[in-house]
Amino acid sequence: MLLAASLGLTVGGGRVAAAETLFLSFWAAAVFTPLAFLPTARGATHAALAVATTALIAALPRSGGLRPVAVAAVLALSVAVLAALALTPRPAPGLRTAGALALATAFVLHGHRLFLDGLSTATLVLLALLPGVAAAIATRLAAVGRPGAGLAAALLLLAAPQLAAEPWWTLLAFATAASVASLASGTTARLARRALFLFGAATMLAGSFPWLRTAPVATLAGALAALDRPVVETPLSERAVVLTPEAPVFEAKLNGARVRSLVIDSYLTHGDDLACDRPFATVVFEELPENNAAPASPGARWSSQLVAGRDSAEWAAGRPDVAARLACPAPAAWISWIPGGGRFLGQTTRARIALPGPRAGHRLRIERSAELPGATTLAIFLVATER
Amino acid sequence: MRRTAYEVLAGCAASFTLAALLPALPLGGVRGMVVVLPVVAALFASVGRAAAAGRPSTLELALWGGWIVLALQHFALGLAGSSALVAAAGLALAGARTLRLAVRLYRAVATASLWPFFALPLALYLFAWPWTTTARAPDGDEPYYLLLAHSLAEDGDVDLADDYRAEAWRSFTSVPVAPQPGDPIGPDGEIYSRHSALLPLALAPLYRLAGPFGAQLGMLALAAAAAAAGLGAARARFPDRRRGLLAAWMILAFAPPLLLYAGQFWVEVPAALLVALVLRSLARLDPAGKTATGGGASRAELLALALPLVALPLLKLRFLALALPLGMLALVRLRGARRRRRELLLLAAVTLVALGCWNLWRFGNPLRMYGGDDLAIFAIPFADQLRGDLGLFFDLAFGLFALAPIWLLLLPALATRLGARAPGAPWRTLVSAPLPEFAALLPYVLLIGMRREWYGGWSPPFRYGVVLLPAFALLLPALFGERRPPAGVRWLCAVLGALTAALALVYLVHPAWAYSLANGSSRLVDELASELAVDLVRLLPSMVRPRPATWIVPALVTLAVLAIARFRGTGGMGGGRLRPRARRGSRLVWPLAALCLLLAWCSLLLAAARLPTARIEFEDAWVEHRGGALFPERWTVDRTRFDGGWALSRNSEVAARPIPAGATCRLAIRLLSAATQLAPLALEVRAGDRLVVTLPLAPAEIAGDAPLPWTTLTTEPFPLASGEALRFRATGPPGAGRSFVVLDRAEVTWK
Repeated sequence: MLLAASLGLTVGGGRVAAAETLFLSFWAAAVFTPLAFLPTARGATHAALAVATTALIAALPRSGGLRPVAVAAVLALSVAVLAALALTPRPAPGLRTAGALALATAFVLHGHRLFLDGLSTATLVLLALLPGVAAAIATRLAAVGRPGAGLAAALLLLAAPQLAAEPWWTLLAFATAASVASLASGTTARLARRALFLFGAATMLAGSFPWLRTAPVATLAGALAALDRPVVETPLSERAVVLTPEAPVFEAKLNGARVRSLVIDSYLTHGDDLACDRPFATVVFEELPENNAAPASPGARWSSQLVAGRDSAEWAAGRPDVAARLACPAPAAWISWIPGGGRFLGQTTRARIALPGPRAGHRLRIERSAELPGATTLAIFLVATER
Repeated sequence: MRRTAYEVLAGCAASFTLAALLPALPLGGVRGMVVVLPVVAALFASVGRAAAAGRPSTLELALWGGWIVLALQHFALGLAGSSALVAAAGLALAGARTLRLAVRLYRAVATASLWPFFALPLALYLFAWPWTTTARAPDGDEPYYLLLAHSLAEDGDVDLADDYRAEAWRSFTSVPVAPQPGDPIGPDGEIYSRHSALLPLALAPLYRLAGPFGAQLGMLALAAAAAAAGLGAARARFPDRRRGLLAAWMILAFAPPLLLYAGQFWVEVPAALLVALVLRSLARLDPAGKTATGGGASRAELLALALPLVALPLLKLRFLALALPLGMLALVRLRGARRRRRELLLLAAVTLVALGCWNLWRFGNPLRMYGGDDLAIFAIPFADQLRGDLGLFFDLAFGLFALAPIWLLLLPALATRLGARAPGAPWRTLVSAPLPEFAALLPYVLLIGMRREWYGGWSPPFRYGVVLLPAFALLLPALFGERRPPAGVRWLCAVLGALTAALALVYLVHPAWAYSLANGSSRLVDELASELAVDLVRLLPSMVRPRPATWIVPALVTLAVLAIARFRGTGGMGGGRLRPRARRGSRLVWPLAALCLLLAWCSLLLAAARLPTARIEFEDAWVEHRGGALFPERWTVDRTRFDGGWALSRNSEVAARPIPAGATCRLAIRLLSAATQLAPLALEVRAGDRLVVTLPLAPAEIAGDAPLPWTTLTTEPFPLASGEALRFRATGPPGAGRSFVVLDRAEVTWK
């Protein structure tokens, strides 16, 4: 709290970033306050995690969602690591330990609701009732000699909003681990408890910020499944380009590696009146000529159109007044971020374009459609080629 | 060792396989860390056996697994800056593993083998290296050492003319490398390097085998060897202080500066290794030492002393200021072995004469680029000398304590050493080790302090001081002599250790932030302050741009550290066990340390937001710049010759929000006008949007070597509300495009 107040004083002097900084500061304080009641609060790890969180908030520059994601990840890790440290020597937690962990977990998973919705009934249920019930159940079951079941039940309650969005097999895997942890004994139970713990840590890590929260386990599984198609090149590097009527083209040279798909992260401004499937840009992928001797000479061309509602959307689609007048509903956000003003999340959309088979490219061109309204611009944040 | 060798070989094979499988380039960096991970794991395993440490926990393995997935897949997330964050996470994981293993080496610290003390730093340096080298190409003098290594390895000569023509530098950097001013030219157009060839010669075989990659591995090994040799020197001096030895080695090996310099090409790293070897030999010669061989030094021991001593000036002539006093100390300690003294003297004389002759032949001067002025210590004003020497330690951009606050432990360690009573006469305290060794370092420290570029030029901080680190490590065991150090020392270790770890992580993730312009601020502070609207820099000490904090902060820090270190706390040992109050106190060390760090950061911000502004330095990061450019330009050689400022051309502007101490203010603006009569300029001063005054700038010309015509213009007192910005804008007719005005600073008087 002290940090949040002092940061607010100093960053508020006419520069942007105050809203995000204050939100992150209070969020971190809200997570670490219950954690201070754990026995680990006297240890070096606890202190290091608190300092690391503060350092991240203070030192990381504001940049399109990275800082909230980083802080969210460290907060989730802090709860997971401190829970492991607290529960390893004493697997049956008392009410204080269980309450502290449940409250901190709830703040990691649902703390942003305070920013978006304020003190609504749903927020109170998520941040007060749910952790209270979870802590009571965990303590009760631990007291009767079933700490594994208590852990599973508490986790299930706290992560219920996330798990509800997951495919049925995720719940099945969770239920299996939980039943083994609570019913089995010896090595099997220990392994099951560890699996359950890792499952909970992964859920918390992936669900700690809204950009991944709709299906956190599926997102993690997707990242693992995509290991065979790594990103080969990011021609835009870490810059961003904005395509306007005056500068409608982005062009980049590629290194000639064979790729199977393109990824483009972008948003539209003043794009709320674009109808669904209306083209707003064209992507042109030029291949290397067959002999590969003269990269500058023209090779085969392949092009595709980016369309509204599928490949990109209005950045402020989450703002109530903009949402009310959208001509086409926005697709799921790839990255959500806290804008400079207003209590809503800005959003960036991801488009993945599969090429017709692996192709070796030497040039990529993205051109804004000339038929768009003059005020509509396309901001591109990532262009990646995938193997 | 055989098992270790097999593991490292298997790790190398796995690394090569990963390098072939992963599309590492041009994404490099984090994927490179994944590539070297098998070798790092093999080194960790080897150290783990030596330290009798258990296997990593499930949580740690899970974290590593998650990190590997992130390292491979984070590009797909599309978050700008995520590579740096993933690298930071990997470094934090590796750092935590390293520290756990290092602490476990407590029992091994007194044994003979130095292998784990070499392998553990090497593992950490190796893991960080792919990221740090990708994030920043060789800089400063580094490319020249690499080019010389390239020439020696590929051509077998030191003529760089053909290498410059063939652009051989392209194998290790994309930044063009051209001959440096002062490089000797041969009669047939040969271009030689002004730098000594000893380091490139040592790296040439590795360069021949594996190119720049091999040379970089060589530097990593030299840095790790310097850390291990530093421990060897301290162990020879204090063989029975295991706790102190371990602390000294950990600080030397895992805290900056060595951590930052590992993998870079600076002669100071091998020089630190040589100094550590000399110190080890000196300890063995000291008749007061517990492992001393004294007057009975064998020829092998003499060689172990003499070779590093001789190699020091061959590595860089500047190190003669270290080699000569250390050599003299060796002669004193060899007083019982006259024959050995004569041999050492002969070797030193031959080396010096040969070096002088070589320099005379190649540079026309036995002292290379140095002249009499460079050595005239007594001609330097005392204040300049003091600023240089204090700056080596306290400057916010280049000082050791700002780079790695854990080295502040040197202050109480020195006080403890001076306060300790040696048996016998009181004067024996002053001549007992390691104080004579420190006296031998003084000429070098004075030589560095008197240089205008005491800060090391374009390099990471404390460049010239890296060579002194093994000697500093000799002091630290004195602080940890007791079984349980005082509460104050433990608390200091916690605070300074946490701060150092955070700074080290930041510098490893952003290696470029370690390079600061000598302008009174530091790159790190600028990066932090650019998001803030307050002047943070004025509260921190700079010996480049003196201000009250230059003298107040070092004095306060020194007093505070010494006072805290003396605090013994409540309770203590009773019957071999901690008393309850002491146990409670020890539990609170870490939370208190974290709380104090957070409070200190908040206090700094609040002080910056509350203390009235007395001076605005226009090039500082907290000042908003809309147009214009830094003055003098970034790559001006020896730019501290000039007063720094911000150059405004027509219609460009700077703005700052001063903290008021009254309702009205008066400005005295120091500026340099470069406007002509044909293209006149004026300086508009605005309070918010209100025009306060338009100051016409007198035409002036900047000519050749003449002193720059700085002037000071003042305004009448004018009202300025709290939170209102002061704006300074250069205005002029459309033809004034080539005129400019440099704003140095504004002194603000409040009423």
